[in-house]
Amino acid sequence: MLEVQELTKKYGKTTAADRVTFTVPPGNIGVLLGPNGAGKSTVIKSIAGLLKYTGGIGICRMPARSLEAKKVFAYVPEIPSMFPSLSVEEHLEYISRAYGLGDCREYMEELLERFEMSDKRDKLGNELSKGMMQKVSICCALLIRPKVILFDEPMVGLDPKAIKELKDVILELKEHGVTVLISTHMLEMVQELWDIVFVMEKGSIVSSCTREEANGRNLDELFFSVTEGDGE
Amino acid sequence: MRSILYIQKRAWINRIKRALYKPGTYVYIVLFGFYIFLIGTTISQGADFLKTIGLNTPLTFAAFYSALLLYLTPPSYVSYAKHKGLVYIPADVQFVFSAPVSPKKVLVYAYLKNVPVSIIVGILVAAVGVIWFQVPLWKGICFFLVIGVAEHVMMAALTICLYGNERFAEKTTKRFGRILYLVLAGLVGVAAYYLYVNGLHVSTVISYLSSPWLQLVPLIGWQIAVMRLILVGPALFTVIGSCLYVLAFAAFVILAWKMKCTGEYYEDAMTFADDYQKALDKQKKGDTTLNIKPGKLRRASIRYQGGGAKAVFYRQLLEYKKRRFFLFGGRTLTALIIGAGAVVLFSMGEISVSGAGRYYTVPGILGYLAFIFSTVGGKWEKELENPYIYLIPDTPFKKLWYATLLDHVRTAVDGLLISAPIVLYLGMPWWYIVIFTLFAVLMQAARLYADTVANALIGNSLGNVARQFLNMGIFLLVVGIVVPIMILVHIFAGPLPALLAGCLYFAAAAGALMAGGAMCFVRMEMKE
Repeated sequence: MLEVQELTKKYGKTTAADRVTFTVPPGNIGVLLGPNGAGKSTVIKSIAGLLKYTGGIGICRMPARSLEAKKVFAYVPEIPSMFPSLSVEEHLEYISRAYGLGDCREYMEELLERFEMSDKRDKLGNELSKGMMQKVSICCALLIRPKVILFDEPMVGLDPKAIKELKDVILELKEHGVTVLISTHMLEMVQELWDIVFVMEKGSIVSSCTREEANGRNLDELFFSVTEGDGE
Repeated sequence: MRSILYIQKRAWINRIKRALYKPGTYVYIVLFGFYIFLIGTTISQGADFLKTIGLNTPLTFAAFYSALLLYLTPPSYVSYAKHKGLVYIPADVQFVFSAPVSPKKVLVYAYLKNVPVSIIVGILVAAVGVIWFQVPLWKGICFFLVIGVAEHVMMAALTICLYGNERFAEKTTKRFGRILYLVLAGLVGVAAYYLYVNGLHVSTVISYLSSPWLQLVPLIGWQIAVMRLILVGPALFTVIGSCLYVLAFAAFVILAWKMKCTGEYYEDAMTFADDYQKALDKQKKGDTTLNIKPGKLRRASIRYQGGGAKAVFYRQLLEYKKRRFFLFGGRTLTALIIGAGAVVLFSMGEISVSGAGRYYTVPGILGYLAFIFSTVGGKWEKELENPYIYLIPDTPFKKLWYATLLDHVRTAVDGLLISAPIVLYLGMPWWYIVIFTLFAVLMQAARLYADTVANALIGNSLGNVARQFLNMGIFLLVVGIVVPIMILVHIFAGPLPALLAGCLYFAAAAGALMAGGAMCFVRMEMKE
């Protein structure tokens, strides 16, 4: 479960996130939508523990900054960054050590195979294209077998095969009871995935809606009805 | 902690493996061997020299190291207090900050990145103490154990306390930085007073750096006290300072251990990582200009006149108009200082020129500046990173011309600032200012277009060092031809025709180089 309570983040006099509150239950896929500058990245980075904020963030009922919470939490940032002198395989090896995963070689192989990175395992971080970096980033996040996973614009830079694979992976995560939060502008990419949607504008959550409550309306309609004010 | 040390270990192994594949590595190894040999020779010569002037004592060494500590330590404390100074890269933000690793360990990890180099420096400093300053070997070893081991433990603890602190508000830590600067300013003030009263002698400096009160200055002074205790022996203030150091050591280690740190510093470290990455990228491109923040941009507008490549010129002009100092920057200031400084030196009688030398003083200065100031990383080169430049429907020659036009204007201003005061002081006719300014523009144009040729020939295939060598080689060739031409014309027709011949030659050379360099604007592929 992912719980965000009264999250507020200010940069000087500008309030980037204003008392943001939402919950994504276990086994649900939450989608965070909003126009540019709405505060989505601030919320995502706060959940990932990269920003100072006021309010509370809980991961599986543990404070997000605690080491216990971090052990079950994975984050795929919008812009992947690799260690330039570490190979793809060494990135995964590092993750397995940092998270104390024990022997996970089989799963590592499976992930590399799934995202067509098996033949790139010896490539160094600075030899990878942006799309490949994104795949490594996703593999590293999945290797943890997280209980809560955060995707920030995960489809950007991926080829169609990898997008399809990622969608399948997200649905599998859901089946296994994992809490997923995706921040994206590519509404059509998450159309068949979402369970609950949060629309942000000017630093606040202006609307939230479950798939049941949407009554068959798609994300485009929901988004524009809120952001352009022509809804019900 | 093991997991993050794994990153360092594997990164080093991979770097070494990659380096062994590059032929350049073996050239560097040979050069490094030669460098070590030179250092060895210098060390033995240095020992003899110090013996001759009677400074080869542990006391001098202690003073020398105290000066080094006073110079290096306060800036580190201040940067840690400001949540800067520790090197993180964007990959650390993604893979280390979010991992279940204690934020304190993440701080130690960043601190450890600097330690190997620091240990090597520590060994060298201790060796210099033993060889040059007659420090007994056992004391040299103790000295190294303090500066190479204990000092790093203390600094790592201090780093956690300053960088990872979540108890004190940002303002409080900033105040701590300011207090440190005040302490430093006080130390400099006392040093100035010492020099004023006792005169500028080595003995005055040593006496200042050995003063008992200096050893009571918190932290830095206590470090000096411990070091003096080892090197010079016990004295009242040395023992007091050392005891305080031991107490501070224990206090900081315990405080770092107990202190709450949940990783609030990650936000500042993330910003620093982005800035550091930008600086690295800039360095990779060979841009060695100072990283001065552009500051707040003003509102400005421009009326585009004409189309095609001319638009590049107007866009650059608009960008400059938004800046606080328009076209001018560090180089303009340097030119101003050189022009004014030359006049001051002339009037003080420190330098004098007579006869034909008057006509070649300014070209000489301009030539020297053209050599020392790099043209890499200029505005024209930034144009190449933008795909639109290749799509503009105009000739590559025009694109290069308009991309560099404002550079010529800047050079003209620099040339004017250098030549005008010198020409007027030396009582030469005013139109020499025009000739010298023209000379500056054309010579610098040849230098700049030599770089465009180097860029077109090498691109990114051989790296920036090779490109700079080629650029310098081409420019040296150009200058190597102009000097004899000017000498010949001077002999047969005098200084004015010689200067005009120089201008003409540089114009022709710049034109020819420009034709070659325009190739950079043909395809983006050359940049990749």
